[in-house]
Amino acid sequence: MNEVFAYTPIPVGAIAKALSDNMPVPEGDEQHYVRAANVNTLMVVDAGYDSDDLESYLLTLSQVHPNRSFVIVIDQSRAEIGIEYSARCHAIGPKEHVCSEVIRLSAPSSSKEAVASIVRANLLTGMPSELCVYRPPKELSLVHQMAQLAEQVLFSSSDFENSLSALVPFLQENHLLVDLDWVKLGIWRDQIREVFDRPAWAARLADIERIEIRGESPHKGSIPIGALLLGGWLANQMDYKIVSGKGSVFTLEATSGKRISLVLTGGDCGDSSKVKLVTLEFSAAHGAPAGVVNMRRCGNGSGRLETAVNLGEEFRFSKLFDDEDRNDLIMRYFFIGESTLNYPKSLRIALAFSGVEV
Amino acid sequence: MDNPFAEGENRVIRPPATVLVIFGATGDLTHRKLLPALYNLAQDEYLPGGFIVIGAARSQLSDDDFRQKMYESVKKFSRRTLSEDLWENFSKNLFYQPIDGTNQADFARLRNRIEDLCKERSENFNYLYYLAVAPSNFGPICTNLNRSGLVESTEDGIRKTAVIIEKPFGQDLASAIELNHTLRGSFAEEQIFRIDHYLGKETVQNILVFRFANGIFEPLWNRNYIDHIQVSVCEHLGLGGRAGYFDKTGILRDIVQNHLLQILALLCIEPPISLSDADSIRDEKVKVLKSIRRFEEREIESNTVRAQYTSGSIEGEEVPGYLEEEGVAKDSTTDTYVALNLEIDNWRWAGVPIYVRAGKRLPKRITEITVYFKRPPGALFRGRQIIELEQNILAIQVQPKEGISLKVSSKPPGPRMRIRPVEMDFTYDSSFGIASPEAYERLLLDAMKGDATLFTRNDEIEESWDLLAPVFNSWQGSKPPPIYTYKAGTWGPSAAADLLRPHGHRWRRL
Repeated sequence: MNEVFAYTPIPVGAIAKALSDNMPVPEGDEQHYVRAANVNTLMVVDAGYDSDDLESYLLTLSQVHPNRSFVIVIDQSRAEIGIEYSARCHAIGPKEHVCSEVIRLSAPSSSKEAVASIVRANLLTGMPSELCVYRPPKELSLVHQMAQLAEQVLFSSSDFENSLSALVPFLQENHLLVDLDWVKLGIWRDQIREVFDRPAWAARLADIERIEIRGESPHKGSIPIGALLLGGWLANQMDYKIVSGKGSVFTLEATSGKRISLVLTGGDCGDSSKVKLVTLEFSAAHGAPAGVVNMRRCGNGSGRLETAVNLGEEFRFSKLFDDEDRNDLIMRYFFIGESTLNYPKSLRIALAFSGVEV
Repeated sequence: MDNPFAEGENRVIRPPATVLVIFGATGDLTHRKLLPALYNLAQDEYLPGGFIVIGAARSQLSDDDFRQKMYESVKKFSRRTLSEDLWENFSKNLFYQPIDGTNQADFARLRNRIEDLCKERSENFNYLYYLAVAPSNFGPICTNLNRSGLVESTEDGIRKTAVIIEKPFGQDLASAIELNHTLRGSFAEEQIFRIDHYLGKETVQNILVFRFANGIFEPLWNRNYIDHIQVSVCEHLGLGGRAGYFDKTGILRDIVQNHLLQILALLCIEPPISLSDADSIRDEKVKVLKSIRRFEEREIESNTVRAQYTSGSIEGEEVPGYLEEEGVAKDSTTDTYVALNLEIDNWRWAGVPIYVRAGKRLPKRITEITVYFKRPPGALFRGRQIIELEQNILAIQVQPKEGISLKVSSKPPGPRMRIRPVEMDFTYDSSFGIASPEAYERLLLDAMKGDATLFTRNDEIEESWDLLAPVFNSWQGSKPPPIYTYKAGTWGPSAAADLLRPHGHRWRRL
């Protein structure tokens, strides 16, 4: 069972003591609480955040790796920094709990230097730090300030769909970037890889002339980030550069001089508010039968990624998958793993499709 | 042409489409371990898209009966709560085929069933057979599989076929060789996966990572810095309904010959040339097993201790002695406890005592590898009431809580120079926030992928039996060494402590 300890206000000078004192366990509780951490976690949120949602996020992080979390609340109404201490525990045995500490700092954005100094002084020595961009605040300067204290940034690029340029600083620093929308694309990338694991089909890649990716987006007319990232990944893996294009149609060129067109469009699969990829289609020359079609069934909840291949021989296969939320994706990334090696280059190309220069 | 979409992507490589036939599908292992493991693999999405399980046993069950039984087993024994939605999808892949392992006609029916199921899925499936049955059935089942065309040769097969077998792999060297011969009549060595579930445990796999991925330990991992090693496999349980089997087997055969020697081999191997091909690691393990010095007959008594438990108390509960257990012969000489003093006679380990012990009805269930480092010179601290510096101890706990701890000496606060040991701990569940998966999950997945790294090769089995052969010969000889007794709930006979005393060592208190 999960246990959430209430926040206790503490003065700035008492943080270190609070962190080294015994856990404030409830009186008469016979449970055994062990404070553990193998990473520092930094978060910046606006005042008025959804506390239940954040609690569930903190518990998920605590379960994937016990941590010391710093939750920085941007509260412009405050004159000075407020600090509170708490812990999130989850059961690992009938009477044993592992607990992650949470230090909540509430401050106006003008106090960013002071906030950074408090965080810096209380980071666990020798442990890596990750910035978790949970529902990014309107004012991003504190987020970028915290990024300087972190080696890893965990975020969802779809949170930045209206301001993709905000992702540029993350690319410029030497961070390990973990984009949950990239993790979500794993199943697509995996299926494309599996299709072209067959040497005969990999050889047919040379025939491809057109790739179309359609995606749903809550923002009418805009191309969802999933489609942009997948387009960026395809271009990167096939070693194509953008030579021209704007809006939704791009011309890509390989080093051999061969050109293909990439079409990125918004989908029309119902009025779901969630961003989803709908279709990825490779087409061979002269409008011949589609080279490869990857299709995801529309609709919410569990879905099926269906792949139909027509490359001389017909082949169809499909895979069930769940529509994962943020916490599911975090669990997937940390427990099952997802390569981020191709991500920075794919994101650069995705940003270029949107006209954002890095 | 290379697949450009594979580069830089390290997605979990799922096994190819597989039909898994479990012989002994109504038995305890299937209920408690195999089906819960497969269910958890499905939950983690590690199973291939094309996956079929066919339960095979003598009982006349329908597919639905089998599914219902497995539903109850997964609900009871899975490490994670059963999800009805997931079960609905998973159970569609479960089927049942009644079979008598000695009846070839039944195997023809099995073949038809497999082929029909594969046709429905229009995919090419590999065949994997899990023999969760008594060893006496291995031969007939393998022969009938082969005669029914259910085993493809390794060279030109359109699909891969393999067989997984459970211990015991023989009762001694001769029977192990005979068993290997029987299996090889139907399957090539690379198609035989001998499962030792200890090798599927995270901590055991972590031995290699710990040794070879940390710069600080490997330089110390030799006779110059290590004083001695202890490996303990302790159980608090008694026979648990296995009296018939255990009384014929004993702890030396049941635990030491397989689990314990496998752990020891991994702990002491030279760096393999690769971690990605099964034989590199197994070649090195065989070298360790070959290097363990064989006892001369006159050395048995001074280097081995065997014992049986008498009645006693475990966790406050009175338990009977071994000879009073139901199903045990009243004059049984079967060992329920054994301790050995081994030495690996090679360049790295010569002169380092390696003490191993295994027992039933000990105070608690614990499996631990303990590495004692040599004491540093104490001259600096002489005259300060410090007689002897403590040894650094590295303890690798395999069960119940998987983790590693390092004992180092430290000065307590205060004006006096004192030294106290402190422990630095790492446990899987508090460091990674989750419990480790069950060993069977990893091993079943590897077998489906055809990766035999964590499975035992025939020469490892034969070397292990060869190593213990002098002990068995002595125990069965005309002047056998004594069988000591120990009270249930204690750490074994005092003779086990005497084994270490001449070297100035003692068993670690677990």
